[in-house]
Amino acid sequence: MVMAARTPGTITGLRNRLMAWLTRREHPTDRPVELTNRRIYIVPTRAGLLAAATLPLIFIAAVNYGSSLAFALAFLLAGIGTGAMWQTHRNLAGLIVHPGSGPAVFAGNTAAVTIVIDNRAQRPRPAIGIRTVAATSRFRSIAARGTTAVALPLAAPRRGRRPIGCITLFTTFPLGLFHAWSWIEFTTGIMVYPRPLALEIPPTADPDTAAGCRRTATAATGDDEFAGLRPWRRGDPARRIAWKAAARNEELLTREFEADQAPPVILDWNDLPPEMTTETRLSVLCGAVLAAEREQRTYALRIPGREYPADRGPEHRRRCLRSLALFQEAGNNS
Amino acid sequence: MLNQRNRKTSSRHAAVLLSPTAHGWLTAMAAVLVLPHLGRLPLWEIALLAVILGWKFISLGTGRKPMPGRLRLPLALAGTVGLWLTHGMVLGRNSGVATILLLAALKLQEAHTRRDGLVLVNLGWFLIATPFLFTQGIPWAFYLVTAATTVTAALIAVTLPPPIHLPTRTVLRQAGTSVVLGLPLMLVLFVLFPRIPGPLWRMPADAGRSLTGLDGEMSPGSISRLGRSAATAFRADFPEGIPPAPELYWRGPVLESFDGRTWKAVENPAPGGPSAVDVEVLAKSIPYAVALQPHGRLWLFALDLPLTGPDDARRSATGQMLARRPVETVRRDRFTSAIRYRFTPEMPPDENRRFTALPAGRNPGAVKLGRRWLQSGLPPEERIRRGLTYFSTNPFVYTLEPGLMNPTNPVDDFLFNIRRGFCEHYAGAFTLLMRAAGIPARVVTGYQGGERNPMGGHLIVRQLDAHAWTEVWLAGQGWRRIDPTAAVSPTRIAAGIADALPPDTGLPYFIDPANRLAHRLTLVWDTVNSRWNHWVLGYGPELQREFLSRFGIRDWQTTAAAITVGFLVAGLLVAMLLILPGRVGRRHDPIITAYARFCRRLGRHGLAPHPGEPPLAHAHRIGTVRPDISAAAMNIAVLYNRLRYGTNRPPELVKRLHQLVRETTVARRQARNR
Amino acid sequence: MQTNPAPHITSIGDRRLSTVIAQINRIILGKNREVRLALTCLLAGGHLLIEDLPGVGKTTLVQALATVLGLDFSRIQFTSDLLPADIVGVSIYDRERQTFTFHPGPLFAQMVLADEINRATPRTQSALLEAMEEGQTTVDGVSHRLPEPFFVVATRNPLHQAGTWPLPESQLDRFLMRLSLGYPDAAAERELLAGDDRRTLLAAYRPELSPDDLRRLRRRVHEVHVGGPLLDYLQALIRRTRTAGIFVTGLSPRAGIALRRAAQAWALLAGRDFVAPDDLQTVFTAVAGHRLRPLDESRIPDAAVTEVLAAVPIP
Repeated sequence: MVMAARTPGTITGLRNRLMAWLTRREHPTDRPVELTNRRIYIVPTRAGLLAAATLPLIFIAAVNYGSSLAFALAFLLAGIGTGAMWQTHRNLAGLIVHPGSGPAVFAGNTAAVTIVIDNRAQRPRPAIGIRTVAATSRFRSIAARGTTAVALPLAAPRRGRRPIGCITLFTTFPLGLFHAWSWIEFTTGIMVYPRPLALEIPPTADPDTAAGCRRTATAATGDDEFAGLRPWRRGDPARRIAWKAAARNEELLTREFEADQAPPVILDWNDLPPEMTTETRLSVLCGAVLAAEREQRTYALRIPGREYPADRGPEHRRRCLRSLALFQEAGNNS
Repeated sequence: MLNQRNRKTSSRHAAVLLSPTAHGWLTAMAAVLVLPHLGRLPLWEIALLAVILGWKFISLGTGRKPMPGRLRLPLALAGTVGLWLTHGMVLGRNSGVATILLLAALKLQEAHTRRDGLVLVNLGWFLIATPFLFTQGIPWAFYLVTAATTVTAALIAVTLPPPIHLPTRTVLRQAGTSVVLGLPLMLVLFVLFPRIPGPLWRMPADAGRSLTGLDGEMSPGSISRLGRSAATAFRADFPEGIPPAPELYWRGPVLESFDGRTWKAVENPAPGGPSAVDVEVLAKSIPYAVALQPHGRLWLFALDLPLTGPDDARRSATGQMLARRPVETVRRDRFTSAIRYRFTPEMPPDENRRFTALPAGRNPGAVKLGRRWLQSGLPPEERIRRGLTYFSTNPFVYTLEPGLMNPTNPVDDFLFNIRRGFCEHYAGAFTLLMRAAGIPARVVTGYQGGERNPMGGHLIVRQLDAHAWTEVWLAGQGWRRIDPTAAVSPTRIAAGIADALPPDTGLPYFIDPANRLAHRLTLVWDTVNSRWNHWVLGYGPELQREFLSRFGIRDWQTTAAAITVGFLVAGLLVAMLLILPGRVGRRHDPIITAYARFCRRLGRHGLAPHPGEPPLAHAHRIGTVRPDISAAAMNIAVLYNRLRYGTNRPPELVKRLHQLVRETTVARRQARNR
Repeated sequence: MQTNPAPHITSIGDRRLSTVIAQINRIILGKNREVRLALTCLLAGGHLLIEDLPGVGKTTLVQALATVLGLDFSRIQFTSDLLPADIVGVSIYDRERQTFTFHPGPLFAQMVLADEINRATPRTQSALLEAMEEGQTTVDGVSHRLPEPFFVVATRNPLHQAGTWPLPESQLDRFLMRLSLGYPDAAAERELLAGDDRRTLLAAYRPELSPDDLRRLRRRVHEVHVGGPLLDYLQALIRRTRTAGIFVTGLSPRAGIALRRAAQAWALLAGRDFVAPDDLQTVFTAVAGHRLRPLDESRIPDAAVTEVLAAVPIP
């Protein structure tokens, strides 16, 4: 008992290597995974070893006193142990684990990935543990034919797609004598946007990249095209109020002209100082997208190999941030 | 000490603390495990355990503070001192159990972490076994299961990961399931696991143990004391039929020295006791088996006169079977005995002298009577008859309550004044008379008769069948059994004690044939107990060998194979037990059953519905890959949908669905063509 | 997933329904499933949102539906200067009669095509959505009942969002279904290119149903039996969207009712007097797709919705 406590490091190390060897054929997947017998591994726990040590003591006492009931106890303990192995295995077998996902986060934050576990069986599954590689374990009891969702914290230090990676499902229920576990590697995950940097983008000097600006400039000088109506805001000039429309509505409306709308912000990769690293650029652009959305301005995004015309709204924001997150990432073909 | 180690380990690991539920279960477990020992533990320890458990229990219930830490050391010290004062340095059964219980209680008192809980649970496993070292009746089998369930429940509660909480009932049900799961393997191992003949080492005997039975001495009142005990001494199976009652003399301790009041066995009988040569068998010997209740002594009881016995026993010079170790558990032994025999026909003169020795100055009346027969010059046989006639002609009464005898000359008092007595009075007095008459004689104690159990077919011999008789030695004939009680009360020998004693003499209620129903119940219970003793408690190396050889298992290889097969069978049984209900459980709807059968059949060809695929879509898919069953699959799907989700279910359509499912066979050939 | 549920089932629904479908299928080529879903939506008494690129035949579909079902039809092009009154109508003071007379707007038609709904201001949008929800509009304190049946097909362009007011997500479930037609397959496109102009074809069409027929059919949708096991299934599906952890929010009870109604209508269209799991599955993506937003932005929304179907066992 005391001895066993002294060597957890070695045991854990060995176990990890064993698991790595055992799971070498499990392919990462984005599909729901059923925990089949082939995927479940089982070893005795420290409590199991302790019980296994108690067993011979009872047996020796039984031999020494020739007590049949003491023999029966020793054999019953062996039977309970064997049964527990089967029960522990069965507590995990047949669960269906769905690949999890979660809302996008900005780099440096901790994302929450929701893993859903289905129990199709008629029996409940108490005390199912689940953990990602680094995180502490969460425990859930799943009702018969029930479903449980577990939110696992997932550190998102860098931008890009953050796959969930390996998660471990395990249980020692009912008797804690055996530890049954299964490893699943999911390719699904969450989107990690670059860490936003609130940095002013310097005004562009390059004529090529200023095309958008030029266009908006012309619009500002001459084109008085009617662009639409919007609720009146403090500071709108009185002549812009759409009186006719306002008469039909219960509130003041301001006529908007194209020239009126703030010119689109052009967020261009090449506008950034040349000494800036790729990651910093992405961070700055990310911050600029957020700032433009906050100010309700339209914005265009240009990064090498990709261009998004001026627009705004959640869909546009999502598209832009996504392309920043996935910039130069392998397998980025969206 | 425990405390300190604990603190050290918990600082190294982030120790998992025990939940309140776990504390509750551990306390309950301790209570269940202490209970059977209450009768054996010294009072001070019961008090100590009650304080510790009670405190724990109350603090759990009320949420009040547990026992303060500064009380622990004094408690442990008090316990140690108490143990030492009670048991000394002897580590016997009683002291061992007392020590473990105290240890467990102290550990429970300071248990905080899961690790402590595990230590306690494993102590608990061991403690379940402790009552079985003392007693093993049928009720204890139920105790075994109950206690195992409690300890298992405690284990569940201890190992449950912290945020998970299960209600008491669930824990108990789960523990019950685990124990039930363990039972098949237990049975297999019990029968097949090679039994090592024990003990591995001798444990010092406990002082002051008292088990009912003959105690190797005989003084007035020592056997009539047993006359009121209906406890079973042993049971005997006679494969060739039970001999008639007058021949059922069960030979126990042979008492050869007399101090005027008490007959005792000779401590060191002469070496080189009689071998088989000394016994001449005059009639066919009788084989039988005896299942003996533990009595803590060396002797076994065998029919007069034993010829062969178990391996670990020998026959002494006096013709008793002596085991190598005290009989502490039920044992079942096979014997053969001779009913008619000639025993030690030759005896050296100094031996002869030993068996006629008398204490000087005690019981002068009796000695005088015997001497008169010797001096009259009668032959030995005639002198013996004189002795017996003395009992039959004088008004002697056979009774359990003879009254007190004069302590100095009890035989005189009995022979000439009181003339009421039990077998020990008659046997003692008669032996004395014979010795005085110059005939070598000794007292044999044991049992006589027994009751045939009509259900089990075996013979029950109870403590109240205890008996004493005389053996006299005649030159050329050897030792011969003379039973003076028969001269007083022939019924005692022919029909048993229940008939021999007058009514209302205090026979135990259940044994008295006058109480018919009670008597019958006693016999039933006895049968069950007999089976239990035979097949469970007596199942040791010999019986195992005997039992297994019936199936051709004789050596360890076949034993190993048998164990493996047994494991597999047990595993399969358990699997079936637990898997079958799951499968059959919900599917009682004939429509669901029919469709499920259809899907299973398709599944064999890899055409089972995908998860969440509804019937019609499934049928369509089948149609595209298997045109041969396309129509049938579609019909089944449509019909199933109609019956399962439609407004009604006409019986003829249900029948039609079953018919369709029955008729739709999936040909393998088609699948290959694809 | 499933195209043609059990064509050989004896039709319990109106035979003329199949004629209706056949007629529309002759104009909108290779879109049987979408046509059926649109008709289902109409029979279920719900409104339809079509999310698609311009030029895939949205307008033609709606016109064909209106013509074949014998409904009067109006089309409103939504722009940013469109005001609620422009669609609902105005009360104008009649000098001669000294009263206000209500001049109904284009909304007062049995079938309304609201084109590019997200170009209008939120006010205008909500005027439309209110009318859709309540079946009436209120102008100057006077309620005006909209025609019966009243069926709105709104379209929106999912791509360009500049200068638009996206429909609030909470309002999206005013639409019973969301469809997208998508490009026609090769065979259909060939026929489209080779054949006559669709609108010319349409001009020759005559109504197949009277408004009374349609009302009767709508009533019959409610009579389609929904059994206990199916309600279990429906509940399980809804619960799944709430607990699966792949959506921002799960389906609302209103969405559950919508699913039930759509499945009933689809069953009627398929000629059944009860709802089968197949029916529920077929309408599920169309009804639930626009009410569910996946947490993982990199996922195709409909794939996440389909996963729900695969994950819930059918009772």
